[in-house]
Amino acid sequence: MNRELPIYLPIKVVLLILIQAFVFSKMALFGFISPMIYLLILYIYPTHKNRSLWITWAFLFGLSLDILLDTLALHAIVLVFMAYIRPKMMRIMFGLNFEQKSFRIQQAPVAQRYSFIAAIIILHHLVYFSLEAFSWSKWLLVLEKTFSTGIVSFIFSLPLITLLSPRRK
Amino acid sequence: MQRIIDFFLGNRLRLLFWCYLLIGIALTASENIYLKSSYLNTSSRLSGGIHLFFSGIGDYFSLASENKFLTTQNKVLMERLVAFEKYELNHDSTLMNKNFEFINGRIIKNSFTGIDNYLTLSLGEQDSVFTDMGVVNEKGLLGIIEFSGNSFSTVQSILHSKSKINVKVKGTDYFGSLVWNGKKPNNVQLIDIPDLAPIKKGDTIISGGMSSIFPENIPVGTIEDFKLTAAKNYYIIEVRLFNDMQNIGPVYVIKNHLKQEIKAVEKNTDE
Repeated sequence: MNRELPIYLPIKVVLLILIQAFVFSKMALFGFISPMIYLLILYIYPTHKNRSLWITWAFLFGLSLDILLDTLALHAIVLVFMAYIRPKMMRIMFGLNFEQKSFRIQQAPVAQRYSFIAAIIILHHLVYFSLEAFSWSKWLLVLEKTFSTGIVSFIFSLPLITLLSPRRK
Repeated sequence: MQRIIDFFLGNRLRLLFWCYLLIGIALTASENIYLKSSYLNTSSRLSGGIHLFFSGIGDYFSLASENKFLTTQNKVLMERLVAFEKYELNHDSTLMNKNFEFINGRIIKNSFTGIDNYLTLSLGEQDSVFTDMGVVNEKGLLGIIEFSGNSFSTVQSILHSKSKINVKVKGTDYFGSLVWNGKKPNNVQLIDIPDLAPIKKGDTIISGGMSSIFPENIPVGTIEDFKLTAAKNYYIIEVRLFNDMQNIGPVYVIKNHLKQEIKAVEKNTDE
């Protein structure tokens, strides 16, 4: 069964939104950490698709989360930003392989894939918490939240990408 | 003309990016009340139904503990009623404070891990719940209604960087403001209490009643720790909330019948 059929992507997207809104956002590990796993969309969305469409999807995806989580449009802003810079980050992480049309993120070495996930999580959390705090005086709180939430998000992301990624042939 | 079209086509990705970014920023940071309230109204209507469905499932499983809680609360209220009836025999009951009315509802979405947290309440304008009303539960203060839609409303939690609620140390007349530093969801900070105030660990903090939102004497928490500010003239007090902000249960919205009058008087004084 080819799990890369385009029909699976919307299902994965809706699943990610629902799991984030009704499971992970209701968690409070150590009393204050809610992991953000929805940004795995940045990992599972195919790389060589139409980029304008991709940014539009990212915006709508973020906005639906915002509506469910009462966060105004914070997730939408961060996801649009991350979607825009994703190719640049991939070029840095995967080097020349990324330029090839046949490149599939799932076929990259494990170390590269995990460091890519770690990088998107850290950058995403940093931008998100900075926007949420919206004040220079809270930089320490922003860093604390970025790293504490980031580590937990990373731990939860690893089993999820195995579930959401297409099987290797 | 061709050049303009070429420019837009060539830069469409960048333009799209900025366009979405600006829409996002407008929805988040805009001061435009019409834009913000219509966005919040639509979003609360959309998400309210979904949250109501999921919280309905969750509520079903907590029926037993809720029943137990209600019987305990009933017992406390019965005891108070008996005490009150005794009091009423000796006093004129028309002098009682009946300005505040409580409207009961439930929280269908709770957040406590962000820097600015909001709760979604299953009450709206059709239940006479409007902006700037206080929200409490039996254990204490929860927040203030920030936006009220037709059948749902959002509550600015006391766990919000802009929340500033007037409170006092029980048994004294030292008033201060309750703020939150964004860290632990069960601890808030009390500021503006002068260094002269006789405070100690374990003292109770209650609402101050200096605003038209909350009546006096609503419980808040106890003093866990305190220190003086750098200028050494005010305390920063760490308050442990009575409420478990992660598990709120049934809530009450407080309606102040004298609010319009208070506002009108204050307005006239300002003029």
